[in-house]
Amino acid sequence: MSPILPLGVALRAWQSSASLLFRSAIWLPFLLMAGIQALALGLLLGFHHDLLLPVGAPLVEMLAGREAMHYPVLYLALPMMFAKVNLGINVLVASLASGVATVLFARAFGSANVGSAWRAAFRSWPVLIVLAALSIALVLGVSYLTSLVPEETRSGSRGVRWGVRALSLLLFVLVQSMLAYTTAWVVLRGQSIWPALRDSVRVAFRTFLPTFIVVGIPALLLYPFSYAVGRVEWIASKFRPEMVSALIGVQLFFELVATFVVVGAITRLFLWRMGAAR
Amino acid sequence: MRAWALLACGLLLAACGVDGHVGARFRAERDLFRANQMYRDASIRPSLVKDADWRELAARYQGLTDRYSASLGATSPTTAEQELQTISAGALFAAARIFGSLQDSTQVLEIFGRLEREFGHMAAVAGEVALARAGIAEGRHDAESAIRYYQTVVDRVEPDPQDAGVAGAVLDLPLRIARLRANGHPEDAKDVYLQARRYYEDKVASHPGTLIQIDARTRLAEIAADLGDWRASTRSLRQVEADLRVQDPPPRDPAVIRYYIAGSMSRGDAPKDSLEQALESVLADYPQSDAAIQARGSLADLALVSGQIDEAIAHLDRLRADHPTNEEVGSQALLRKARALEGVDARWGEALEAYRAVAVEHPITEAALRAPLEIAAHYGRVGDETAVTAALDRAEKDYRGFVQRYPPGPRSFFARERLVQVLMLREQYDQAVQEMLQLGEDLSKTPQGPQLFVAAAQVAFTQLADTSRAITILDRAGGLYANADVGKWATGEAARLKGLRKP
Repeated sequence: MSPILPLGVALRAWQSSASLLFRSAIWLPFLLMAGIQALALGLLLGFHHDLLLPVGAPLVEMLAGREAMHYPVLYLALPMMFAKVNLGINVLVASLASGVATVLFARAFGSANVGSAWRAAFRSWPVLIVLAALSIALVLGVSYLTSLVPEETRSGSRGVRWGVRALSLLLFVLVQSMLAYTTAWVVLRGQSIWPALRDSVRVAFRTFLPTFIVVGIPALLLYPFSYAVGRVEWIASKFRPEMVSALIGVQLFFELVATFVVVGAITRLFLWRMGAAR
Repeated sequence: MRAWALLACGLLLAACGVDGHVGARFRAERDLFRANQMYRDASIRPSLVKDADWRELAARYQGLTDRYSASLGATSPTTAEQELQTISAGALFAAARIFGSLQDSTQVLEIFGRLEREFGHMAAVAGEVALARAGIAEGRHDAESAIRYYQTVVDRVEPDPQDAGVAGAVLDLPLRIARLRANGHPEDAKDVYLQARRYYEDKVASHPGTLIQIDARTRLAEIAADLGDWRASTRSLRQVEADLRVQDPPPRDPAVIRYYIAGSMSRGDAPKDSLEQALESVLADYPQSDAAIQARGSLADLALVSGQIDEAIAHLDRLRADHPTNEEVGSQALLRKARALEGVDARWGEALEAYRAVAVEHPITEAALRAPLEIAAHYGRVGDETAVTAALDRAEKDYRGFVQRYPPGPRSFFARERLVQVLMLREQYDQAVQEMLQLGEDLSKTPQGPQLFVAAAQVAFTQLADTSRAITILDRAGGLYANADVGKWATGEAARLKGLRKP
């Protein structure tokens, strides 16, 4: 098969998704997720304000220890703390938001047999939570695998360092690609956990290259942000510690847009594959 | 639902245990961090920062203390509250440091007073203030006050040799007190050292196997040396060296202690052979230590004192050969070699060659900048006026060339100070005054600044008989150091000269 064809399919999927960028109703679930992320980030950053202190201080201490309640340690620990909080948000809120968004995209793409997006997503929420937790567990597993490369080997060679990073990104995109269709199977076809997983992997294999491109390119474009966030000590010493929070804020914005495009494109590919199957 | 309720209960319980000062401590740390960042930026080129900006920064530090110390209570403070007190006191110290660099002793003393009033219950703060006050008192030659302040530090702060603050300085103080007392009453030396000796003996006994024990024993050796008992001093130092050698890594360089042993022997009038043996043993046992450089230098001095010039020169040459990349060691050894040769009439040619070699081989060192003046001084000593004039001509050219070639910095200021000396020797007083004033402005925030202004005013008055110029210079110094003793003195002296000028 020519590589041009999958790229064309991926481009068409992105295009379909991007054409809905100005539909406010579709943004609603994404904004809900972004709002909760912003609140969590604000709570961590503003834990020292008298009003937030009773909730913020125990949260910061629980996530990063007592030292993180000092300036500028808070900013050095912020990426790690926010990543932990974000795991919870991804499992509990992003799972619901992506379910709602998938139904809204499907309706916008002309799929007739979908009812109320929020009702459908709420009905499937427990299943979506389990699938999101599974996806996160697999991603953490990938990180663990790459951490098995000894630190001395990594620090000794630039090539090894970047090789490990590239491998980590590749495995991340592969895992995400395999699980990309689970939400669609659950909210659009009413499947339970195991069939949704099985069929998602099946669809991902049949549409491998377009799915890999649709998931992989945004992940690649967002990589510089996660790379920069990993260098907080350098950023905090070179500029100001507050730069770390600004960087996380910018990263969240671009992740929001990327998630919108990817969820839309994956829904489009799913509907296209289902239509072709019929 | 139950999980949510549990989470809510957990958060509520955690919220009850939150120390209310944690938030204020975070904000205070943030404000202090920002102020420190401004201080660091300003300190890169302090001469380019206006006095008003320094004062604004000091006010920022003081404002920080005003903001956060108000919420502090004195009874059983929490950890966060204690840290907040430390931050607030630290900010006031930073403000005092700025006012100190501006020579504003009024503000410094005011801040010290506030520190004592508001943070005097903190031993470290009380100790820091007392230590700073003792330093000021010593500067004013007020030994009694200095002793009183030093004693406050000793009484309130437990020594910790590894601490960068006041606790790190405590162990020195009983000896310092004894020396100040002995200066005033040399006949009672034995009695005044008794209290210090007891303090150190107590530390040796109560801190076995620690750095405190080692440092206390070193001070006991110093006391013995001060009292002329070099045998006891050497015994103590040998014990210290033995204690250090069993530790890996040793907390202090045992080579330095071995070198101190030689120093103690020299103060005790030990025979030359024993002294030489002690110094040679530093070279043999610790060749890589910096103390070996000092030991080799001392061997050269010892040979010089005994009139063994060639042996002294051999040591100095060996010093240069052993440390070919160390500019400071190489230049100093060459300068000392030149001085040693200068002392022998027949070897002035070799001495001159060595003096000139310093500037060629180590051009950017203090030794290289001293050499031209030392050549002129030699010709002055032998009464060769023509050679003096030529040497001073050449020295002036060298210094002006150096100042033009290298950017402003410690070396260039050192060269300008030598240039002032040359101009004074050449009796070019007008140029000397100009150079002193320019240098005084550039070094106005250092202790040399006021000295240069006062010296310039003296030259203008005594050598140029230019009272108006002397008054202008003194007025300038009075304005620059209005809140310091020297500034008040300059203003008073200017007024006195103005009175003299009236018909």
